[in-house]
Amino acid sequence: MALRSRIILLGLLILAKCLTGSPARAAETGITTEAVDNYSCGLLHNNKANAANFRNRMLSVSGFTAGALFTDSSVYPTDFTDPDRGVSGADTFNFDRPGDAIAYFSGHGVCDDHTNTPCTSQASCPAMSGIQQVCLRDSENPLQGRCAYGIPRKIVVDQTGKSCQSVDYTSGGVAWGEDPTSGGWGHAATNGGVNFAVIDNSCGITPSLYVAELLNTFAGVSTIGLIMPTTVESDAADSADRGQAFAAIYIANPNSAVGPAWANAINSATSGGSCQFGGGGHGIVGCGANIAISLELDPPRVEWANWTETWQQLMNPANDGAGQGWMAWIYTCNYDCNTHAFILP
Amino acid sequence: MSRSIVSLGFLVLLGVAGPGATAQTADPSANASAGLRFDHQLERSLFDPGANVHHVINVAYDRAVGDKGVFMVDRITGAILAVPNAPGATPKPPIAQPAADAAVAVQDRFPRPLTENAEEHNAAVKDYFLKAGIPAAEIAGTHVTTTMAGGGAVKDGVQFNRSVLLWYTTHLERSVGGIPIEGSVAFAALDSNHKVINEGVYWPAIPATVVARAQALRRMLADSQAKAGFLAKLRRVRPDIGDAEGSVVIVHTSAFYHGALQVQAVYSVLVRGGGGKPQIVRFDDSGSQVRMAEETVRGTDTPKRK
Repeated sequence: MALRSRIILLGLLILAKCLTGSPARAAETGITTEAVDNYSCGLLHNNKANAANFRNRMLSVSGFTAGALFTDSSVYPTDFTDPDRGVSGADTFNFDRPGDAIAYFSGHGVCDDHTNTPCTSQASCPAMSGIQQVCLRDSENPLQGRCAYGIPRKIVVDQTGKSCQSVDYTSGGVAWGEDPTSGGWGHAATNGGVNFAVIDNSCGITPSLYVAELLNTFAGVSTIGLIMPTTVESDAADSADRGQAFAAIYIANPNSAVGPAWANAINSATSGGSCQFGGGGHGIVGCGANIAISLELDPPRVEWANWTETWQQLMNPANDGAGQGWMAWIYTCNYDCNTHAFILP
Repeated sequence: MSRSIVSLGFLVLLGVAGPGATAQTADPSANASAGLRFDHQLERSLFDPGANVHHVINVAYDRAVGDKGVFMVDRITGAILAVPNAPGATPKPPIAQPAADAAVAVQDRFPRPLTENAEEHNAAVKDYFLKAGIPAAEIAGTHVTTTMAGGGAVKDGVQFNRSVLLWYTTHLERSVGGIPIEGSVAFAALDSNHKVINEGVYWPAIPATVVARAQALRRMLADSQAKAGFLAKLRRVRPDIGDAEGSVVIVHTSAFYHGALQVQAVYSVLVRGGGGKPQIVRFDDSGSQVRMAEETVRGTDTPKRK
């Protein structure tokens, strides 16, 4: 190319940059995993393998790059919390690192949102002050359920191997995805960066209480993937193939949508236990679903984030969440949850 | 060279088993029949990858890439996965000014489902895979998974009844010699045009010796005294199984695990500990705990930034 042409091209690039006012940022490609098996409150066996299988498969083809890897005693409660949310936090160097695309946690959670209190409707569940409730269907009887509550959801770690510690990702100091592109609307400054977070734990979210339990977790992260038991006593299995099933969809088609990929990854997961409405298994003991939830300013953007954003587009920081206003979700149940709706209204 | 290619030399084509089914020669010492391997292929698939299909091949994967999606063959395991491109692939919409307040429109984004009747979907998918050559005798049942989606304004809080059915996915349940096979998958979701939305198949050969061993274990457990002794042995290995009872299954490594194929007859027990994720604990017929190879994969920790 002639020198004159190069100068003109450079001038045009500078002009374009000035007009947009937003400097181009590098692609966010990191894959970070955190996993715990060595719990003093109940040993697990397959979480380190689950996270490693996800990571290895994602990195087996070009595109994404290796982020951090922490297991057992290297997984701290502060890995998940934000230093700008008024708590002790260091997610900037751990679960919400600038430059990361996907962060995956595999380990324990707490099913304290489920109760054995019988119910026939939402209104029949005893009220708990300031906490929303739902009546989860429990049997083929259309009016028989058990109450569940929007109690803050938790990641459980065990840094010392002697005492389990909970990280509240509903109301605590957890805020993921904030960076210069997303802006600081999540009140977490701009020192994060992850674009898709997976919480692979027990009772990751209570059916229908997505807003109550997850609104504050978003600070720019496009989508969060979780496992959602849909009946009381159901739960995610201690499985080694869930993360690998998710990664396989990327390997097959990088132009597929990431949110639906997490939901549909349940189809390739094979362990678990039966569900009272038929089916079951697929990485879940009982009845449940893989669910992906997105938050954005308006319907077109939230639909795009949840159902259209591809693995390739996930790497682009310009696609970060810009604020809160609308939620969209996609889930795949391990049974016919269209016929057997999991909520008694 | 991949294991699937190597094993071709040992495969025996069985015409009665359908166009895609092959079997390893059965161990003559076993009375049990082997499980037949089934390799699904794009040519027999109802998945439409679209126009301009070209193959992108590397050591592990053969991907038939079209302008609508990809049909991928794992060249190591023989598993396939068909995945459509993102629906309505476009750049992210700009922020609406003023903020749009229209309802979230779910179904316009996706293909229409074949049916809202799960049994009807099961029958259609079973018929589809049978025509593709899956061994009929190994289909022990069917069940669905259900994909739904929805959305709404954050200010509305609890989101009852905002989700709509996108599609069912039917799974064929596999058994050989009356023993359920854990790890095998054959699933497909069909749209209203009887085209596949997405699908996956992994149906490896199951050696007759493993089937025979599982059947022998099941016969042994039918004797109450022998069963009591066996369970006592298991509880010495894993006291946390308590009084939980299990079942005899054959388990193999999963579709996209690239280590050596592991196929074992096991007694599988579901253990619900003191809270948290339930575990599936497996034992062989001697009472020793079985760990699948992919359950032992580990990485190397990153140095912690203090």
